[in-house]
Amino acid sequence: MNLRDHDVVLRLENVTKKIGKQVIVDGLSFDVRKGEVVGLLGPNGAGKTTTIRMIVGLIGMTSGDVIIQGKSIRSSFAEAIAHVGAIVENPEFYSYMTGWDNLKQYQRMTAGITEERIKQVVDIVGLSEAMGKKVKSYSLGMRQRLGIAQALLHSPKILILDEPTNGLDPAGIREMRDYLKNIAQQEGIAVLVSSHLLSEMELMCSRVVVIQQGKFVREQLIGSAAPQNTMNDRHQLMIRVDNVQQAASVLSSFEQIELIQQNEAAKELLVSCTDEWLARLVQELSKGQIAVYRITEIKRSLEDEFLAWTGGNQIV
Amino acid sequence: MYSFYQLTVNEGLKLMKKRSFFIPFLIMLLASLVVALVVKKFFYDADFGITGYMEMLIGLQGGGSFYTLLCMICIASIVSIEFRLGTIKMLLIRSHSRSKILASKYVALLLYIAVLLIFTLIVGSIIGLLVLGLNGGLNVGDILEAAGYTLVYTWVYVTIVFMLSALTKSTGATIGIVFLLNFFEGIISMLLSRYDFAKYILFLNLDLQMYQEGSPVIEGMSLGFSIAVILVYMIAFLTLTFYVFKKRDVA
Repeated sequence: MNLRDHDVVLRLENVTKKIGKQVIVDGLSFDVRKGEVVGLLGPNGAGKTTTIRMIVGLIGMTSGDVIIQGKSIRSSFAEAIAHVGAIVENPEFYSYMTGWDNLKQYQRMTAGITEERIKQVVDIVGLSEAMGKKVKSYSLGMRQRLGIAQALLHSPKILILDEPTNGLDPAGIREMRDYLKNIAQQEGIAVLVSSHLLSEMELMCSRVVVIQQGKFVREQLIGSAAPQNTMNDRHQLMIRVDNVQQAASVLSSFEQIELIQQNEAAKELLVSCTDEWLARLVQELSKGQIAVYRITEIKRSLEDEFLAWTGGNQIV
Repeated sequence: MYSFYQLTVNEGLKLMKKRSFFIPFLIMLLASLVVALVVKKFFYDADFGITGYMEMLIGLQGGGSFYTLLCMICIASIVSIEFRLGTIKMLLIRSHSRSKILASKYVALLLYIAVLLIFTLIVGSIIGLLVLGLNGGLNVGDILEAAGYTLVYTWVYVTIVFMLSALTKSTGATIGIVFLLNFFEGIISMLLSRYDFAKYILFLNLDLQMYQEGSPVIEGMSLGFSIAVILVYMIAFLTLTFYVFKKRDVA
């Protein structure tokens, strides 16, 4: 049993959705814990939106269960969903009403939300000025923010967002990212976002769950949450020197250092080794009077890894 | 219970905040005026009087059917609009069962038709008194009876509208189907009234006024029988509506 089990806010247990003979989501299981921003990542048509709709009970599941704060969405919907704030696809509102009237609608649907809370939430998303205007006149960015406001209104334990940055401009995307990180850290809310935008996920999430064709592919910690490198890990390094030939011959004397590629024109060597052996290599190179101009670690981006996981043929 | 009241308030506001909300009230106000003037010009005598005017305004044979049409149009979007706007997703991910949300819509709808009827009765009386005076005496019982028949008829139709709105998710389809039904109701009744089984058809039982006049469409029908038939149909329609709404995948 995981030590952090008590922190689990959302748990998917073998969630499966079949429509006719077609399997849309196939035995999907993962957890989302308190204070974490988890990305649900997959190519178009992987079943992200279907999964999210099942989590919030908009569509039924064929088998499996979704547990939110210990309550099943299937057997105790009202109790489970009370902990959830969500935007499924685009945030939609009664466009003929003002922003304030729309939020009042959701206030009436949950006991104990004060007017102060509405004002507070509106303040968080920076919409105070626009509350008296009809939603019709809102820009997409404003609607998105109003969407966040309605999702936060009842102080949920988990925020579920389907493609939250869809249609936002770069400034809006950045703003959204900052909100989500803040919310997760300061209020200890768990956040689950779905997206097919890798770069987005890389900046926003601490962990991604990758799915393809409705199936779990893998789970990966990213950013600062990723496991720190240890001395014994092998890294790919690009070394630029003044004399590639000589450097290569020095290299060949080390069994533990793998020469992957040698580029005469650019005077570059691509090698793979551990930290310890890199230090020795540098020593040997300077002993041999070979000038080292640059040593750069080649990191695989999430995009590369993602393509590797999903077979690469379905560009997202 | 309080939460249900709040949900109903929400539904009421959704109806009221629309700019078109006051149009039916305005139309009924104009209808009262027109009927009052027509009565004053053509039928005005001590026998007809203000009671006759009110029956004409609200009775099924007069303005009442007009009132039914207005209710049908205004209510047609009550469920489908949530699907059209996409707000259904926001609505269904709150801590309330789907049945409760749908029930609050139905209650709001019933309140709406009641309010429009009461409005018509009050405004109609005032205009009647102003235009016609208290001639012939105001027979409140007769007027309320006529209003009651209209209300039952309208209730059945808005329940059908409610069902169609939830099942088709389309306001246009709802209005189209229910207008067709309403239009052919009379013809269907006439064609089928020779057969005995026809007495179980909803539309042949809708006009409860026929028992007051003492001529049921088919032998063996009575007021109690018609009320029972109406209730059975209504329960069946609502059960179907709630069942589908509860089970439906919201995509």
